[in-house]
Amino acid sequence: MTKERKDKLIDWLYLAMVILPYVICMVLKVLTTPGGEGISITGAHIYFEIPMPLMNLCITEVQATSVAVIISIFGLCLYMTHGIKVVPNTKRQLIAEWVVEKVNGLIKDNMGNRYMAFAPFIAAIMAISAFSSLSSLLGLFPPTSDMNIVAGWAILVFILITYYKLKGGLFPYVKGFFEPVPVFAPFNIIGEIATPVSMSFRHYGNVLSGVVISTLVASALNGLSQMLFSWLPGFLKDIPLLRVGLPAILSVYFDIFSGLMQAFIFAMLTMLYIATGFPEEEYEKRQAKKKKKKALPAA
Amino acid sequence: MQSLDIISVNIWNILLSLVNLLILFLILKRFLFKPVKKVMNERQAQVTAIYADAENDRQAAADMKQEYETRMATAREEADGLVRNAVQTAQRKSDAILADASQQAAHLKQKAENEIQLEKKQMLSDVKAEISDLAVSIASRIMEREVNAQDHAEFVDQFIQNVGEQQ
Repeated sequence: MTKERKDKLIDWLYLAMVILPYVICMVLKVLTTPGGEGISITGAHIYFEIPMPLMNLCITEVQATSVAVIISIFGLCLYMTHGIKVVPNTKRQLIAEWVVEKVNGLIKDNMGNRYMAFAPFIAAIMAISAFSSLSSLLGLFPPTSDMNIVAGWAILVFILITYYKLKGGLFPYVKGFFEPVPVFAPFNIIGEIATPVSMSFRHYGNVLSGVVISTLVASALNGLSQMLFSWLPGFLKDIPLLRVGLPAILSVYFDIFSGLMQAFIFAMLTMLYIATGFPEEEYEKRQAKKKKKKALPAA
Repeated sequence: MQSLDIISVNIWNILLSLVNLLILFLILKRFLFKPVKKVMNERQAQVTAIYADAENDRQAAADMKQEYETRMATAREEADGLVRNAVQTAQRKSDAILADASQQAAHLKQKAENEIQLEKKQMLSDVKAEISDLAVSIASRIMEREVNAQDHAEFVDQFIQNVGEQQ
């Protein structure tokens, strides 16, 4: 009996861990957004700055939301895997297993069995991207519409791609830039650098464009309803009635569909870039050579 | 309150988000994938064990069936052999009994025949004696005098001999 109660308490704690960070972020946002500013398109609000070499580290609402997203996902993981059993009897365990199996299947289909260790990483990319984009539904500034955030992920992916390319040896990697003819070297280098840039810009641009269009439509509807309903008595004329409806439909596309789509695309591209960038033949040749070298002194 | 520009690059923010993603990766690995995988592997092991048990049981059942069938076959053969033996023994015994019986019958018949022969001879000799007596009495009556049986024995014998030949 007491154990049951304890389990229930822990469940509630985890659920609070999922929800509370968002609530705190929303409260922070409401408290720090100056009233009567009207509709404007700006970046995230800066809470404070920490002096650092080169440039100051700005702690903005984006950083706060990112941390909230991470804590929330952490809480979700703990909640789903709490009281996990060999024979599942809870819905959340089924969901957790479904997620793990789906991600594993995705990796197996797109990358192959060699990369199964990537499953948590791909899941992390998908989760952080989707949760960040969806946080705009709560009125928060979506972290994915800040280029720095997405650029960070893209750079991490780029590091991984390069690491896997270098597994085939430094020389084949460098040689790859001078193919098919040495004249192509600058283009190849640009193409290489373009990978993280395009990844980050694609994702961030999609989400930000959604924010911009939503804001524009909202402001246009604001003006329209002021024009049409200025004859209404009292406070009624201050309510932008036309803003009811259409922004919600736009939100379904820009916040939910586009956000999830971009999360999926980002994860897919990560998988494909890493899997295709890995020079399998060179790697195996190198491993064989290493084995030979190891075997030589013994013989 | 200050805001960032809509497009701004800040390397520290980039680094921060990179680290954030790494942290989330570690969290997911440790707190989602590890327990779920552990449980799934355990389940897999259980299922494999159950299947192995079932296979073992099936194998044992098949073995038992095989053994039973072979035993049944040998038992049937044994029964057949027993029956055949019994039939053979009975046949032999009945043959022996029959042979015995026929032999005895033949023996009895022989004995009976012998006895008949003997009786016949006895009767013949009796008849001879009677006839001779009869003949003597008839002859004495005819001759009106006593015939000495002793004297005419030769004659009577001859007569009887003739009668016997005429018969």
